[in-house]
Amino acid sequence: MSDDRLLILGLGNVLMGDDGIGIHIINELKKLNLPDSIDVIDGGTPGIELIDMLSTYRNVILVDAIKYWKGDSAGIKVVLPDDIRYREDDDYSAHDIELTSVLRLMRTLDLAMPEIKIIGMPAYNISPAIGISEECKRFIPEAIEFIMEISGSKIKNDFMHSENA
Amino acid sequence: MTHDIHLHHITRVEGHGNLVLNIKEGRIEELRLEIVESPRFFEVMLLGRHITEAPHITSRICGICAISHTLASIKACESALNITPSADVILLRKILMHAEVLQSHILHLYLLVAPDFFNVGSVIPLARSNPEVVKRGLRLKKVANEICRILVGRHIHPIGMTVGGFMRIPAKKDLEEVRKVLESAIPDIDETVNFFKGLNIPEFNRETRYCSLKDKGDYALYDGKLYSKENDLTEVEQYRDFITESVIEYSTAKHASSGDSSIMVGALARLNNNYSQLSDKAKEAAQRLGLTLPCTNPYMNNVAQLVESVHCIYDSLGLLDQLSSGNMNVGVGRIDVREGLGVGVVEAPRGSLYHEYGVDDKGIIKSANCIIPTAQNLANIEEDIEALVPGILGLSKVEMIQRLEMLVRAYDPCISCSSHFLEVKFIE
Repeated sequence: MSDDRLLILGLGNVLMGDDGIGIHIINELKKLNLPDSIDVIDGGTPGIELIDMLSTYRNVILVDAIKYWKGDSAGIKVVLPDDIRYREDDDYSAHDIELTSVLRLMRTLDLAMPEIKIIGMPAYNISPAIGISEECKRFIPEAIEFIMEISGSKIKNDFMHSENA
Repeated sequence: MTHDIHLHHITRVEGHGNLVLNIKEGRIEELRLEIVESPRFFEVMLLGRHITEAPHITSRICGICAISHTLASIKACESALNITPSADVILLRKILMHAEVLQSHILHLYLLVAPDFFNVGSVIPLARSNPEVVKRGLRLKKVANEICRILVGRHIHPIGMTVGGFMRIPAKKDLEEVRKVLESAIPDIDETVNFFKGLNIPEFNRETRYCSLKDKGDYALYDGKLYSKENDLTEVEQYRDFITESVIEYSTAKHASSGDSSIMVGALARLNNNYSQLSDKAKEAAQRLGLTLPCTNPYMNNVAQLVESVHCIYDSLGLLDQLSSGNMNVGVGRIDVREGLGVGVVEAPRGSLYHEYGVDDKGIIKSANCIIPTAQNLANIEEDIEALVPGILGLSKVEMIQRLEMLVRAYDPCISCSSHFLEVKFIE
């Protein structure tokens, strides 16, 4: 874990409707003039490769879809790894490794973990489709603004930290 | 005694398949390895696209074998367009094939196979009980990923390789970094051989037809002619004389045969055909692991994968030495399109991978055919199960199911992305 840069990583499958919202947000962020100290990456559905992506950074903002259930208050959720209720069974397949499985494996192995904030975007339609639903789309500007805000403070903090050092 | 075994979603394989097995009075009444994934229609997607797009599109067929698909596709394009890549391009491609074979085999051995030998359901409990084992697997996998990152931008869906050459010429320091990464893997691969040496592989033998590429000089992964000991060497362009595909009612993947026999492709088939061309260190590893060739035990495919992993590390170091010491000639030259038909075959981690494209005089794809290794093994797996079952009827239900799953898993089938769970219906 030697990289002081901030990673903003979008996860999801753009062929599965709202599941690809993380990637759509990454594509929007790439159009903005973000500082060189931030890496903005379309992570797709990386499976176990996610370990290598995460373990080279100290700070990571992950953007991923969270299934919207009827009755949930619609909105962006910020989730920390400690907030996640991890599966307790041992079923696990190398072809089916999503974010929570990777975090669980990294914790079990006691691997160095970056500080992670997960931006959970409400996903209404997760089924084969290109493009995201109107309901999901309306949260994009708010998500961009929020990511800019927290990544900005992160850069400032890092800068202050290095100055103090 | 009657057994009706329905392994609904075989676990720890790459994708989604069921095993249906109905045994009555010690005789198999029904046996089907069902592949229930949706068809992907990649060949249809290629129609109407420009031939130079094919490698980037077909890379998406697999997130584990993306280098193999890209290279089989590039070779088919170059054959159709009559392009001959430079010696340096071929050397770099061989290093990339080695990296992919290494990462795929290591992923299979550590994350999917190893839990069987510790009698646990997955890598999670293995990570709890033997964290150093899993960490070693992840370190080795990272080695392969790093090589791909340095040379072609990334491992999954590489962006640096294209028809004719490379989009970016690796600098001297990049090649030094690749060497350093490879050398760092030697202690871990050596320890991996020690680790698997102690594991108890089930005994079961059945002769079949082992098919792979065969090359004059190299242990064939990147290039060669089609070979099995029952067939003369066949030019890749004549692949339809070598392998026949057929549609199976209960499977969305086709079955394959060669002559009148089912076939096995992958690491064990390659070792059976090309053992003498392995690097010395890989031969030494085979000895340490107790692998004597020819070998007809499909469970030993896992051991063969490890022997190939050793080969890939040491042979890559040799390939680096062969690259031009001055400026490398790997850039992409002018591409003139023409009407033609091209076939490209490589040895993907799981076996021979075929791509064939027909193009018109504007370079537009008019026909496409891809034959994937896992499909070639399916009929053979069914025949193995048929031969295996009479010998394991005395085992408990749990042991019997485990032995069957281990057999399917030994082939390292890559069915497609899907979720997995195990539901066993077992009626007496």
